[in-house]
Amino acid sequence: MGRKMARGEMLFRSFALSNILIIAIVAVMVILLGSEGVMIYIKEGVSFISTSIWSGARESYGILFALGGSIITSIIAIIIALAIAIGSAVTLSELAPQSMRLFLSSLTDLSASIPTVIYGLWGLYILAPAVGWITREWIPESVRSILGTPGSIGTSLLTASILLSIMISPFATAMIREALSSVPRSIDEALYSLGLTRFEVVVLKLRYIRRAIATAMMIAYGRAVGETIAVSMVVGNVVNPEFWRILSPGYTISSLIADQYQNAESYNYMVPAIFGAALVLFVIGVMINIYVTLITRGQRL
Amino acid sequence: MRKISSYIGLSAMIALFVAGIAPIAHLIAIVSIKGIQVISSNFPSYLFQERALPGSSEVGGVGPYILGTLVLVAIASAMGIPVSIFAAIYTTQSIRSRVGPVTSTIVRALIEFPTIIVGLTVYGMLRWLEAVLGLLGIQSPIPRFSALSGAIALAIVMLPFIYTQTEESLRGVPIHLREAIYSLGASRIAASMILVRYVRASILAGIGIGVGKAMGETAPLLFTAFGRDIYPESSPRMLFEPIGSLTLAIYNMGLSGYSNWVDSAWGAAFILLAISIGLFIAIRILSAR
Repeated sequence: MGRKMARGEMLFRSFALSNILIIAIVAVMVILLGSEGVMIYIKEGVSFISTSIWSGARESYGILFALGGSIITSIIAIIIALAIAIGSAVTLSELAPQSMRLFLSSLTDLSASIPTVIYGLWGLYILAPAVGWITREWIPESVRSILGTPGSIGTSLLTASILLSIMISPFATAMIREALSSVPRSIDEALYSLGLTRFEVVVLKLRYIRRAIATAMMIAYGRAVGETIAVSMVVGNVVNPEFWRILSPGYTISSLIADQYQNAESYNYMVPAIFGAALVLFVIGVMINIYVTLITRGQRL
Repeated sequence: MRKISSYIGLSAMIALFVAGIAPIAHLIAIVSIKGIQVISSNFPSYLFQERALPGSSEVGGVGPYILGTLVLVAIASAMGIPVSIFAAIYTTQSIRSRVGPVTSTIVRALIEFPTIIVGLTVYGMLRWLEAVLGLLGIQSPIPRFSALSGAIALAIVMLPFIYTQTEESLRGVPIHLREAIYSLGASRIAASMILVRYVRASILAGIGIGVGKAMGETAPLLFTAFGRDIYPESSPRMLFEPIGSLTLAIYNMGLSGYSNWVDSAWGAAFILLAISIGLFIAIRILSAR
């Protein structure tokens, strides 16, 4: 009996190996990203993030165009997603008839589990041509001379932003709904008893949970910056140093990495450059995580 | 007046909701229509054949990609599922250990890692392994572009989803039940087994979420599985060679511009979408218990 118990306890303790394995893998991932990513900065210096050039033939790399593309597409995406998510959360939690809520919210949740490459395919053949058509028909020449023109099939930084907003809004909706449902009933009742209209109550409740909304948007921003495949299919994959021209095709950091995978090993410094780009992506993610941790610390909502 | 503005405001909310849900509904509809069209007019060869020549009038098939997805997800599950569940059991059942809380924190950070970085770092690790073993004159057992390499990347992708779900469901067990089990004099291993059985529906749901994520991922496979368009020659060797997947096929054929390959991509997208929706419903039923 004693030996049996000891063996069971040993088996239990061996489970810790799984924990140690997980910790070790993540540690190695971070160390590897740091050490491989730093190499290109030794070669290129600051110009790796301050210039816009990606040339294997000349072995010269600067990812400002992709960094700018990542930041600008993600900002536009979360602005659109914020509007959609607030509208969806309010509709699903406050307005939709009880009988339809489960179905509609399931559809929203389902969209988070659709593989991103399917969004990419839909984006490339449905969304991009629509964006291209609207740009050509509705946007005046004078605006296009400032904001650029999409590629022949409608690929552009803006197309990527719109697709990203569709992909991240279900997640943002879920977080805002959770916050809305955490507003105490007594507040609800108090607001209505003041004789406020339904919309005024909704607005006040949204203001009450504004910190939760801000947190949701930051996390959504991190996801948008990291999203690779769908963006890579609709962003155009063109080195565009004028990344603020959002109607033009461009690159984001993650789409640059994805697009270069097949020929990376053919050049001496392209693999280090890709690791350097991934390091930038990682640092952006870490900064967002730290920020989210700081603003959510010790808060109820 | 205030009533009117309330109606306008609420209508705007509903309009935003519709603007968000309409693209999703359209996506599901169009992938289903185009996909079923492609598959049914090439049935059943579409499921077994290799891809056709680019630009030809044939659609060909996605056989090697289906095989690749099955192989990759199976090996990834064999590695990822036990590790995540064992780790979650240890974290929740060993109160005084420091390893548990560290694992929890790290896994919650891992869930936000862009998956392209997961693939890239697995590639980097295997390159290091090849370099070190190369110095000793040994060939690496895991080539950087191989099915094994891709499966490792997918295992890391599924891990945080299964781990967090298992951990949260074990923590959710009512305290009186936990106390009752230990007061019977059960060892930690026996108690863990009873608790796992108690929350098994929820753990199964977690496995479904993790496996579904892994199956739908493309980015972590770019630098690992790398992709391949033909069937492997023999089964044991295919683990050490590049392998394709449905997701890589949709990505590459979708961007290729050849209309027969693009058609094939819609078919592959429908297969993946159907499996995702099936898994989603199964997970809903499991978590409702």
